[in-house]
Amino acid sequence: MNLLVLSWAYIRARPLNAGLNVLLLALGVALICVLLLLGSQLEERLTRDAQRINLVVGAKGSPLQLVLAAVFHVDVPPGNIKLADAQSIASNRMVKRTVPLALGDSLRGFRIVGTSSDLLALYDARIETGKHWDGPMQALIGAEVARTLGLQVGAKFLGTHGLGKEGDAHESSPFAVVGVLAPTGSVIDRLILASVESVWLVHMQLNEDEKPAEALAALTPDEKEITALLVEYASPLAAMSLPRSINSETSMQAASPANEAARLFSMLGVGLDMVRAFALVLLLAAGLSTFIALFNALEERKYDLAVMRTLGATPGKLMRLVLFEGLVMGVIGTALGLLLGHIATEVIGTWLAANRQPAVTGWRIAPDEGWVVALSLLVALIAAVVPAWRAYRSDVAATLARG
Amino acid sequence: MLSIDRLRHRYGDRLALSIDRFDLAAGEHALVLGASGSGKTTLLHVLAGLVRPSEGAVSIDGHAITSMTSAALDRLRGQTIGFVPQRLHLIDSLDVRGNLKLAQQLGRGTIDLARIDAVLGSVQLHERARAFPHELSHGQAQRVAIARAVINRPRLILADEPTANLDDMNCERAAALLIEQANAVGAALLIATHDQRLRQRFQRELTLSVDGAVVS
Repeated sequence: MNLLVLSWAYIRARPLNAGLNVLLLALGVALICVLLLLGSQLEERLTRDAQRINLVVGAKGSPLQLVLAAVFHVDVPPGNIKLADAQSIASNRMVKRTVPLALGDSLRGFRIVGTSSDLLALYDARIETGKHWDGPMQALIGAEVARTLGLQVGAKFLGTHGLGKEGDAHESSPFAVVGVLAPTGSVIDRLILASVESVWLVHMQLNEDEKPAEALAALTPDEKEITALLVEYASPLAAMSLPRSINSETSMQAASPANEAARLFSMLGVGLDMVRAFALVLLLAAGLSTFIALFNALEERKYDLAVMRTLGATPGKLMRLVLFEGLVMGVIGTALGLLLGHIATEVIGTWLAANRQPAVTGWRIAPDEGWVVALSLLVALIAAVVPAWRAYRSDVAATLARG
Repeated sequence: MLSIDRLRHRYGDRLALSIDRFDLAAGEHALVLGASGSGKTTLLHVLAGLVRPSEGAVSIDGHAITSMTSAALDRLRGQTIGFVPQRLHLIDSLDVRGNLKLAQQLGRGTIDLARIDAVLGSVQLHERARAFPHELSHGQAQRVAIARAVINRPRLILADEPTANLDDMNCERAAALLIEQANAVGAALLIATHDQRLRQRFQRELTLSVDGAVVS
């Protein structure tokens, strides 16, 4: 019969009241937990996806849109650029590597990207089964594409126009899967890669007797377009001059993924801060509710406390009893909140994956979760301090004399 | 066992308790009689160390409680004194056994299940050990309160109006049980009451009045 057992007995004696307080605390913790898990994984994902990409060059328009479309593959691109213009950047001595991207089609929500083998190097991707494409209309598919769509080497598929799940199929230009990439945990897992020429071919109206190679050879430089060019700098000094020269001297725009991601986070930050504030209000409400519950319980229990004093309990012990009770509710609420938060994040992650968005998982621990636990327990403890102090100061004789 | 010397207690200017001299040996039983407001409950609270008297000396089992620290008084109360409050005040969220365990834990710091079984048997509540206070009759609850008071083998048992609102038969049973349990642990027993029916069972009386106490 230690204090913990007695505290638990008191909590069990009023299950509805205690349960509601615990639930309120759990909701606050769960909300903060979801925000932390989503925020940390999203940031990690964005950082990983843009890790080696110093600059994105594309059509003039919104730089954020360009980065979202070409690096994170979540938005439509602002337009196309001439391949020749892009190639002029590749020859700049401040540039280590460039990777062309030709977007426009997709397969059941997964984007088909016309590119070069250098894209694999940007994400440290390796081919798990099959081989690299060595001709037009051959595709390498990301691990998540293979898993979700059940595609294997040798499978054929038709791309659909546009980047959504619905679109007109390019009936005359089937792709053949020649390789499957190993999982990387980056955006490339959700991409279907092919040569830039394959993407051009899909969008060309070929005559029945026209061969692909001939059709490609017949393309004029003006007709050869790509969506964007990913650039890796040879030196950090390139950041000082290259974007500015592209933006001012060409018809293209250059956007920094790091800057745009930071801008995106600052825009999202306002909304996230509001949700975070709401979660904190929930936590404080839970604290207030626990305080009221303990305060009222103390009034109902004043004779119990007085009798405990006659049995030898010190005032300090009565104070600890009330603190324990608040803490027990805090521990249960926090544990329940963490569990709810992780389950909710997993559900959100499943929903995102079904919508071809970056997957998040609830089965990991966010870096700041320890702070949430500490904050939640602190709120519960603070809520119990005043009732506990009252218990400490209670006048036993007067209480017993009143009957 | 119990020694009171020139004990006075005032609430503000009002003298609430005045006893020149009273002694109670181990194993002795006595009644504290008096009308409402004569200081019976105040005396019990002073003896239990819950109220510090305005003046005078009280010694329990060789301890001068009027000069003890609060912590020492808490220890003495848990180990040496058994208290039966008028309204019983069992802990509602604990069953009968839990109430006795709590008393042991608070008084002695340890739990002796054999002692709990023995005391429950002696008050004929063995079969109600798992019952919660709201499931008990008043008589049963009173027996639990008495069991709780003697569970730590106190040297002094204080009972506040233990027979109030009881019919003659239950009054007799309650008094007999208190005496029996006090004898079982060799404790002195002091009952504060205005119930005249108890006088036939006790040889010693301390009658309180606003003018002072009379020992008979």
